Amino acid sequence: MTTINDVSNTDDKDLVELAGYHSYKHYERFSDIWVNGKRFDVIHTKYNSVSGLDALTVKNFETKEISIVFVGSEQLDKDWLGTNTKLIGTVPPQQIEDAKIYFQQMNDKYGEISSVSGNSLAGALTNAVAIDNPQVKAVTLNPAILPFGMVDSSEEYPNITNYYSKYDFLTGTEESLGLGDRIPGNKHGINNGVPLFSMLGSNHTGYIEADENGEFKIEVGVKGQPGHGFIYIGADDHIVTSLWTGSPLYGGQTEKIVLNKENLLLLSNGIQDQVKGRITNVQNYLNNSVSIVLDESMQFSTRVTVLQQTFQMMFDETAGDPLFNGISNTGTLIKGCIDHLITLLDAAEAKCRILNSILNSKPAEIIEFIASINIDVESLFAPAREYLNQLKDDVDNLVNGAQNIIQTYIPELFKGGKDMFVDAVVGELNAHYSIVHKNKEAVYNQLTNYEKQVKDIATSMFNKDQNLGSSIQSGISLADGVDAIQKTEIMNIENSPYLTIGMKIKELQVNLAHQQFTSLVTTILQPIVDNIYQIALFVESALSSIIFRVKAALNVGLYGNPVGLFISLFTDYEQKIKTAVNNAFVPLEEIKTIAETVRIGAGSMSANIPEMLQNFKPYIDTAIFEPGKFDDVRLYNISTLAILDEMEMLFNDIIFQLSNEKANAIEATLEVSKNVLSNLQILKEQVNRGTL
Amino acid sequence: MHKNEKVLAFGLGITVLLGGCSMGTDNVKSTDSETETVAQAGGEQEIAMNTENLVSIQDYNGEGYALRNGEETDKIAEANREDIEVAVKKFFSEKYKTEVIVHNLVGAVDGVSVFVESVGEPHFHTFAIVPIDVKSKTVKTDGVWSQEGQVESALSAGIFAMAYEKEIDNLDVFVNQVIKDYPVVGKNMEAVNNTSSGYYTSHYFISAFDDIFNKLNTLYMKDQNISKEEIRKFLDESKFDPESVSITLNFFMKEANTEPDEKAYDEILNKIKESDGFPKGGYALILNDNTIDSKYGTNSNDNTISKNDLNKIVKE
Repeated sequence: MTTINDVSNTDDKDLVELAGYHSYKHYERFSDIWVNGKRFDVIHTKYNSVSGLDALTVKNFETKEISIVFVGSEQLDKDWLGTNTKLIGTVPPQQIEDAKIYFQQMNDKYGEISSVSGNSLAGALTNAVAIDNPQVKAVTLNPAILPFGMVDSSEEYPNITNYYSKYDFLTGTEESLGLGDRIPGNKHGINNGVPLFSMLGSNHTGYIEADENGEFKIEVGVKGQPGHGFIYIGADDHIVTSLWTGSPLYGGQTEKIVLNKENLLLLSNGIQDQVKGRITNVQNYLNNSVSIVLDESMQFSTRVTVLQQTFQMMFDETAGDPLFNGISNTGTLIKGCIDHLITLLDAAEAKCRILNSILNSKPAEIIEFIASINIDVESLFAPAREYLNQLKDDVDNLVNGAQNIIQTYIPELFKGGKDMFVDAVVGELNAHYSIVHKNKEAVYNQLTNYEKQVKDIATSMFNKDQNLGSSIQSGISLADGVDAIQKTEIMNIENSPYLTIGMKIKELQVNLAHQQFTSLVTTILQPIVDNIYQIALFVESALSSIIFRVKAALNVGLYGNPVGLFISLFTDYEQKIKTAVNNAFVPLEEIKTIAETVRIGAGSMSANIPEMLQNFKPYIDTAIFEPGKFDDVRLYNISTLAILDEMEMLFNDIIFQLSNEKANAIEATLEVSKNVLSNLQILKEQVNRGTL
Repeated sequence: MHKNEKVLAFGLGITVLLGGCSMGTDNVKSTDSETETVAQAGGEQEIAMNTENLVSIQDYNGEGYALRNGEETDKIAEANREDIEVAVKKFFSEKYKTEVIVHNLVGAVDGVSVFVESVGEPHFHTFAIVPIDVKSKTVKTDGVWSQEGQVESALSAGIFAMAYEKEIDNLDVFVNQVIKDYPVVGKNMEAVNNTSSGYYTSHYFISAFDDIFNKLNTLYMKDQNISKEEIRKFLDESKFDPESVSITLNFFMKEANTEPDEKAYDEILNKIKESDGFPKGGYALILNDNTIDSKYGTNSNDNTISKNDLNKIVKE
């Protein structure tokens, strides 16, 4: 029978926290530190050696065990490559030699050292010491490799345990470089850390700064907003240990224990401490995911409106001219402007008629000297007027087209998903989470009952034994009564038909929406814009020919002609023409300038549409599900998955321990345990869909 | 003559050259032989130590104390010093019902450690941590916190010192006699203010923590006007384990370049053993040379004498 875990012993969890967190704190000699509720006294320190070795020796206040904690390199993310290149060589760096010396010194000074630990570079130091000293227990977190030749591949090094954090870059790189055999002993992956670049350093040390309760957690989301919360990343929290022996549960089962009352109580308490603590985190993480999704769902109309407004603004800006402001909305400005052009054209036409009449009313004396000039006002102005009307129609079309896209098609971009949700991504996530939410509650309740059941069985077994004992002693026959035992339902949690393609659902929806939108804009709006460009060009050229003809009126040709000179001196004929021409000129020039502005605006619109569509994609992305929040959901799910994974491991061990027991009560518990496991696995699969 | 001059010049050159060389070799030899003697004498090797940060204890005021990756947060903290002071004072007054003076800001990887001293009684030094977001260069003044047990332990020690007022006086008289009788000194109070946590004086520090002291803290939180007699009564009745109170006497050699005096150490240790009227607790004695590592705020030289690391002198 394995001895029951003495809770005050220095265990793997303590060593991991000492290595990953406390070692970096520069504690003074004789200060005391608190690790997982246990007191450790710093009895010796070694800081600032030439080789870079920093180390401290601590004593477990309760058990008097002495441990050496090596301090990892100070700048993990920057120095690790440098360290690695040194370790990759064949000559052991001085720091390793110093670590061995330090171990020897402390061993001589304080008697037997019971454990050694270290993180990163200090993990390599730890392993180097442990290879030479097979009697010492060594625990590392994300260790660096040892120099070539130090690890004997035929040896097992059962005294060494290395924990690899899931998202650690150092061990990940070492293993992928095929250098894993330079790390001796057992290797276990733990699910701590988060896949965020900013967490590179803490994923490696396994810790960030602890908070006011000594908890190692990272903040997710923004305070005061839905889904704001914390993810617990402390490495030692993710080491799954046997509820009975305290030894880590990795790759293989623990030794079989005897199921007496004490051990059943340990199971019950273990469920209370280890499982329910963990499932509380699961509850919180999932609740945060749920509230983010719900909030997005409630924001649906806002998200649609914002996307509509964004498009409106971006489309208006493609022209690069204030004249086009509001073209995708009412187009009032540009329409008003075209009306103004038509008025101007009318005015110009009237002025040209006057000019014409002046030209045609030459003084009789000079008729024979000058050619007759006539401006055919009707034929000149008709096409220009027609183009302007056409321009007006086209602008109308553009406004209507844009409005149609905004009002009808933009909301369509959100639709899709399994049940053709109005809000595809959020809708489907929401549907999925309403099931997950129910399931996690069910699992939580089942665990609560399960814990109570095990406790009841333990008590009942004890009472029965007592009764039996006293009845044998007293000779009174045993009462038949059995203590009431909490019953745990065998139940299966609901399946979810949603989110079958996982979190990819959003990427797909965004891409699809963007494609649809691009094709809508290019097939509906772009041709109209091109048309406006063309018509504006026609207006310009029509105006040019009018202006040309009007200018021609100035060439009546009186100069150089004696009679003309005479006339010009004595009549105001020429002056009249000049004035009339000038009068007609002003509105004509204005029309031409504005038409030019319209043409340039339409031209730049047409040219800018593809780029605008490209720039619009992130807005679609945000509208469909805000990326930051979507990432937060994913992050919570990843962290949930990690815990469910750990609980699965724990229940596998529980099932192993309960199986092949003769007692009926335990047989029944075994059934429930298996059911709990299967529910955990279903929940895990459902949460997993939220991480892909 | 000409020839001779040349020979002379040549000879001089050789001497200079050889002199230079031999000086070099001498140096190498001497260091070699030193390491050899060390290795031979103890039958074991020594760890070579950096000496660049060592300063004389008399000159040490806590400057230079640094934590891992603190350079960047140091600057941000200094720029926001006023806000930090306000937040930390508020934190101590709300959470620990204690008024504090802020002495020192030390940048760490995700925040700044703020070293403080309580005003009046219970008297203690400790630190709180203010998180800093390096990316946005902002100080999260609403997130002030303290490390597990850190402030609690210091507060307990402060309350403990109140209860054992007379005994603390005796201890103070004792250490003052020690520095008169022996060539030893303590830390400057400035250094203590800038880097320490616990009930701290120049010559010793006390930290106290276990369930009983937890209860004592709760008692104090409920009533800050609790009398010294009441505290003493509580502690006497609860019969705490003396070893849960660490009392560490930490001395340095007064003169530079002297090894810690083992004879003095032994005598002082004996005197602690023999003296009566000290506060109840587990006593340890450390005697360092004259230096302290300014970066780490502590001395971890090999020559430090500390003979009762595992067997503290227990005063009941």
